[in-house]
Amino acid sequence: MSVQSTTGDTPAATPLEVPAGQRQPDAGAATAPDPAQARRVVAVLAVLSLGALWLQHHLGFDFKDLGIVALTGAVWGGIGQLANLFDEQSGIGKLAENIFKAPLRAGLLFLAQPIALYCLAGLLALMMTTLSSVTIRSDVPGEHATISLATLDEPGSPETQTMRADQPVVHFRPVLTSPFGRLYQLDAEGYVPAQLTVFPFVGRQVLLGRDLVPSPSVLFRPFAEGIAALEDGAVFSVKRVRGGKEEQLIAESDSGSASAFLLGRPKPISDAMMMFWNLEATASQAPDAIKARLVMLWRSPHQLPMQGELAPHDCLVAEIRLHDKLKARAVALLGDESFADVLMQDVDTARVKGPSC
Amino acid sequence: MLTRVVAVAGILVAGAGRTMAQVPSTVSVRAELATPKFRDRFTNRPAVETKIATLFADYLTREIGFLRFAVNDTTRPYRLSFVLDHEPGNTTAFAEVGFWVRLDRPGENQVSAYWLPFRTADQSIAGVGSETDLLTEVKTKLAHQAADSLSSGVLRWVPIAETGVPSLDPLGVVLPFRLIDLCMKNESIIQFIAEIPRTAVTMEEPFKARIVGSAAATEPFFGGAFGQVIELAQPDVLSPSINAKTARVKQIFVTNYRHDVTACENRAPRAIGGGAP
Repeated sequence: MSVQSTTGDTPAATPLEVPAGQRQPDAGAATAPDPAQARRVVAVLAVLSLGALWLQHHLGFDFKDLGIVALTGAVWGGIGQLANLFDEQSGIGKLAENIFKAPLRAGLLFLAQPIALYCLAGLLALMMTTLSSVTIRSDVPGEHATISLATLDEPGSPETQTMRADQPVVHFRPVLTSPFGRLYQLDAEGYVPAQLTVFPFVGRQVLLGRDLVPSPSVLFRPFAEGIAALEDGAVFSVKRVRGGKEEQLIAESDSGSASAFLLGRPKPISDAMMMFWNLEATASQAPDAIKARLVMLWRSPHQLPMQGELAPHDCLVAEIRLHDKLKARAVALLGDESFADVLMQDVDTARVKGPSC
Repeated sequence: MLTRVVAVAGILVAGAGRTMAQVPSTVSVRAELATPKFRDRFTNRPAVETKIATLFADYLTREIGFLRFAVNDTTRPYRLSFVLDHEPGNTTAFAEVGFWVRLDRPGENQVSAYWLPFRTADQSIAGVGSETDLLTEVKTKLAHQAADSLSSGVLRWVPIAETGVPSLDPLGVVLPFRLIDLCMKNESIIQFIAEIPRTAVTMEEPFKARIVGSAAATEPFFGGAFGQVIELAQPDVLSPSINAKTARVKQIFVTNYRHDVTACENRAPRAIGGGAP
């Protein structure tokens, strides 16, 4: 294939044409390739590739996106091949030249200019060092949790997203950071809040259950006096003692029916637990009918809504009061276990003491 | 023996029309919710206890005629308490709860006994319920409970009278009440304490007597129930003393009560918790 100039001049030997508005190089120089420009083009492609990889890392990779890119490339290549096959210069070939090749060539040559290249590289470096992302997954299939991310160095409302069965991965992006990282607090429903540093380039990937400790769940099991009091409309309350200060967590009043109480996420109750409960009741000389009822009642706890999450080393004081008289009480110091099973002992009012956390 | 009883009974007709001013002793009745579950259930616990005591007083009035019962009358020397509690010393959470009956006597030790089971161990984790629920439950329990153990138990220590007329022939004592006033049938057993002066001291001797009828012509208790002495210990110190008119009946107790339901039908409340004695 030969290209003939309309002006009668010798056509440029280089495939890269000078865009309009730029100085036309002299004929002697035009015949020789510009190695600096070629290197800059390579540099532009490298910068663009790096940027694409960075974006792909933070935006994620979807097969549907890959399909679009592949389809576009196939169409483009196919058009060029068709043009070559039919030796088409004015129809399909011209269309491909005008729509695809020329703008791309022009853009590439523009970016290959030193100033544009430096600006592009600088802008990319700035973005890569200040923008990042946080990706959150769960090790529990079908997890449903509200997740919020908030910076610790600026006041303001946290960004909140919801993890659902149809959206098992939650992305927070862009996340502002610095070259040395930035501290954020991650709150996930059912997990102990954690502080994490979000670094540039790589971002942060969090796996709930591994990187965030599941919040402990506590099962409070009232005993004889407590159950009877609850049937008579007693009030069940839980307060957390931290540093000598008490924080009311729950005040469930007048349920009208006796039950055990669960704070936190539901956890499976094993046969071993129920066997232990049965032994507990037996040791207290409970008749068989009572033992059966106790175990059934404890096995179906009433889950109480609670603000915030429990955390290891929390000290909880649970009480059942009837007409402000203490009927049952339990003090639970949470450890590292994810499920605490606490029996609320009946209380002789005369022997009541303060919390022993 | 039978001839004497018939003779005494024959005399009854003459004095039957005369009234007797004597009234059996009155016992104060109170109730107490002692177990924490019942004690702390009601903010107006004294009022609830009073209502329960009223149920017991009505029940006793209907079932036991030889005493009178008043609710929370602290002026009475003899006080009967119905305490809802578990067995003393039982520290398990699943103990049976019932009414313990306790008699406070002036100058004497308390007498107490477990009388009315209320909640079994199988019901130990059930709530108390409302005030109405509790009163209904008490009524139901009382409706199916006999008072025999009470009359022959703690109430045998309450003297129904502090006077009586000793009789030599037949040997016995005339009570200051008619049988109908005591809702008492013949064959009931009483015990009376008689003061019998001896040479140097005055002795108080207990004698057991069986109610066999009524004495018509015995001053001042015309128509009073007559108890004939049984199981008289030898030597007989009572007869000589009566003969010498030195014996004095000091106290009379009912130890084995035979209830005459018909006699008291018009006096006792027809239903627990209702009517007036």
